[in-house]
Amino acid sequence: MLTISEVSKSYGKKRVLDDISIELENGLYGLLAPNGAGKTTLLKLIVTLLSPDRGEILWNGAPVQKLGASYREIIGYLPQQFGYYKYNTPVQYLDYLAALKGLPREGLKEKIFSVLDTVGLSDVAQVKMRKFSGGMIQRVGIAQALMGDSRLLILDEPTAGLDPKERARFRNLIAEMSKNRIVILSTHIVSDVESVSGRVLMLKDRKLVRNQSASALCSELEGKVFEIRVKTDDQAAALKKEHFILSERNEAGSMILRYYSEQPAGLEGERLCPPNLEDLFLVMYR
Amino acid sequence: MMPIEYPVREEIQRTKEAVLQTALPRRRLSRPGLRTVFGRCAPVLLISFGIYLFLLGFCLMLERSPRSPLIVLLLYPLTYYSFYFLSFRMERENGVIELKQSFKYAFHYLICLRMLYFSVLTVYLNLLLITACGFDGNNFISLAAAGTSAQILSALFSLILYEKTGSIRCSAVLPAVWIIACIVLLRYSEHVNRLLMEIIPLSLHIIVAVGSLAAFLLYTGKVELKNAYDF
Ligand SMILES: Nc1ncnc2c1ncn2[C@@H]1O[C@H](COP(=O)(O)OP(=O)(O)OP(=O)(O)O)[C@@H](O)[C@H]1O
Ligand SMILES: [Mg+2]
Repeated sequence: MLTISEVSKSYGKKRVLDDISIELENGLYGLLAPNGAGKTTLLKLIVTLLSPDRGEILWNGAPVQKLGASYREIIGYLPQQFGYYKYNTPVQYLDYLAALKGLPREGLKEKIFSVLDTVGLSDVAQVKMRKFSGGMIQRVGIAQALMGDSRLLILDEPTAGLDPKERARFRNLIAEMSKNRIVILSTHIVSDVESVSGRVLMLKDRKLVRNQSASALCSELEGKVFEIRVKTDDQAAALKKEHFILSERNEAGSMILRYYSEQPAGLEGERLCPPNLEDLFLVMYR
Repeated sequence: MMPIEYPVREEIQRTKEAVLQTALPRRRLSRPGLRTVFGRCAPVLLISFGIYLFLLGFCLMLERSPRSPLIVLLLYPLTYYSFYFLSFRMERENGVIELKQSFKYAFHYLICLRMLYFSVLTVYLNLLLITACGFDGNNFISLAAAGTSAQILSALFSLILYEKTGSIRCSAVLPAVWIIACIVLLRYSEHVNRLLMEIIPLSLHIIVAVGSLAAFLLYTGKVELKNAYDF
């Protein structure tokens, strides 16, 4: 069990995280917040790349600062900027990283091919990474974090650069992985955390403001999200002035506006909609 | 009413530490192999040896001039420094430091071991360098021992500076200071030569050399137990 207890972190004078406390059990945690909210900072604190100014991070009750290599051994980490050696093939690279992770050499080759297969790279396993696309590199990064069956998987924006098919594959993979370990992933892509069961952690103004399941979060906006079909631009402009617009789309020649309102606006054609996580994100960080 | 006895502060502390020990006992790491320590360093090693060969050629050209002992000494840590800076540069360019720092064998520990092994290697290389310059007998040993201390100590200081400041720019001060010091010393080469070869006894040279190597080994052990945090 990982406990984050009253952790604060500043860069110089700039406070980025303030008094964050979370208890994490096996399962999936999606850290959802806009750019610059401090997601990477929180994850770096967990992997001990940064030290908290105040507060503590505990693994099964022991402060992680004190655990050193025996704590790092149980971590699989994907940094937001994933570095690699261009002239290595994924197999060579993973083989080298396995040595740094101190993994046993027997059965390693099979393990490497199996993680490469999990991320869908088995057919380019022996191609130099110089020739890889951004999404392929990202998947090597994910494979690297999966190697070694870590108890704690920390993934900083793992879905960045993945196409929809790979994203779906990744979601299934993570759902599977989170059954018997703690998986924390950061993202600002709402759909990454919406469909998987698990908790959504939201940061705002340096604080942890939500720690709930996606459906519980959505129910906060129950009865407050509406859609309306507008015919003229004037009508649309008037609505935009009055209400917080969540999205607009074109359908059969006319425009449909989705908006947030505490009470029904009492307009003709107004339709109550089931809220989704994206609505909550937009309302929360408006 | 029953009086309640609270344990004294030290006892609480002791119990806490005992609990910590059982939670995840700290044990020393097994040393990673050479392949792990020098992994992906081949180009950097080649360049450093290129620099070494260049220095060797230079020393052979000098042969025995009254100044050559000092020049040899001056050149002593250069192969090391070129490897040190190039090695950091390579890791940074590839953007792998952060990732490597999160591993069991953390980046700093590996760098420390890498530099330890490499400085021992350069000591051997430099012995060849001195031989090539035609020193013999006690002079050879004095010069070799002084060079070894200079080499090991500068390696150690560069790593400590890196640890304290978290940037390798600061440790660039060391080779700079070294070169300036040597240029100044070259002006008084006769006195310095006398000091090195005659005044300072051979045994002292050897003690210092062995001592600095021991210090380096101790330091590596300390880094191993450290966290990424402390850098
Ligand atoms: N090394 C640093 N020095 C100074 N300020 C920093 C540093 N790293 C991050 N910051 C600041 O801290 C804040 C949080 O940064 P962080 O990288 O944690 O955000 P993030 O949520 O990961 O953003 P993104 O979604 O863009 O990755 C930002 O405002 C950033 O400017
Ligand atoms: Mg980030």
